[in-house]
Amino acid sequence: MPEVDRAPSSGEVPVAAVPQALPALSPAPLEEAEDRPGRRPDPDLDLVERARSGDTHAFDALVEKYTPKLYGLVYHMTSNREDSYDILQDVFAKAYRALKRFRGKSSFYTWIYSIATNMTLNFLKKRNRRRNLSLNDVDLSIENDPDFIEATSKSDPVREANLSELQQRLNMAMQKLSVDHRTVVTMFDIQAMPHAEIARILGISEGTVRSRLFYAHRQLQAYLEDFRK
Amino acid sequence: MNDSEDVQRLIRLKRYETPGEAYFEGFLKDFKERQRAEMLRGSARSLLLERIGMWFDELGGARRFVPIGAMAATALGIGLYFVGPQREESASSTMTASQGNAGPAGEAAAMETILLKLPKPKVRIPERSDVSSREGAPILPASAQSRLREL
Repeated sequence: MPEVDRAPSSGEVPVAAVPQALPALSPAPLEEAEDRPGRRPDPDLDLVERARSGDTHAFDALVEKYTPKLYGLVYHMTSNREDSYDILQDVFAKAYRALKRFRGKSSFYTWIYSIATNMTLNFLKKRNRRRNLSLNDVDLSIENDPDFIEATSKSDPVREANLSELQQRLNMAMQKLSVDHRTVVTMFDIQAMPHAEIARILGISEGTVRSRLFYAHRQLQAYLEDFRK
Repeated sequence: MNDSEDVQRLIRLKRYETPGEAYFEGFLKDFKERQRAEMLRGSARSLLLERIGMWFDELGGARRFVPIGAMAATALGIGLYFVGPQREESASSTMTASQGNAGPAGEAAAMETILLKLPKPKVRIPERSDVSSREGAPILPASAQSRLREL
């Protein structure tokens, strides 16, 4: 698995300094994210074995299965749909070439998620700081989401802003975060991954994940101050 | 509900930014085409480079020895560069010596080369057709000699 050198963020603090009440909104654990001892077998094992023996259709099935999830990761980190498309194509191409070296120490999901994360981080480090947003349309089912209903009911700015404005503000706020902070916010808040899984994919401790989340949320509060009045 | 939770709820709404089903279908189609094209192309060089890159990535703690290894390889290359011509020279001299001891056929060939002589050119001197060579010939022509006698 390719490694990316990640310098600790300036906002990181020791675990003990992070309030314990942080994970108030604990996300539901992902089904595929169980790499702990005694884990159940990798559900993709059969497809992976077939793909390793040259069955391209088996790998296509894996691509089809994981494209939406990995796309979410890359898109929310880049806020650019064209870049996300290109990065994800490269991710699967690289994964296919590296498949023979996949030893099954982690699930295929964790493995390919790590590749996608590292390639996205590398891309963001090379990309210019100023980059236009290229956003997807917002699914109109958002209007039935309890979080959206609550946000529009209690916050005048959110209620007054149309969906497009809200989307722009959220993405701009995300892009103001450091890459490390954006990564954990994407994984935890948007993709609902548990701390342990994020720690495993990023190769950091759970305490560091919590620390980064704490400071990322604090920054987001400042960036979205007028939406929370 | 505290401020952090408010922000988390807002950020969560980003999950409704989706490209749609058609986007993913097109993605898979493009990937298949790209995958097939790569397999056909089979660029051995790029694969080798990528695997070397991956190998370096996996070195981890041993990565600090990479510069030392590179220097050693460079030194070896330079050494081979200078040693190479000397070997060629010694090889050619050994070959000549072995040709000299190559048996009767080789000796005959060598002798033929040594004994090969060109015939002496016959020099004609003007007004002295009877003299066929420079050996024993007077320095001056006959007309000049008679004038010299008169003087």
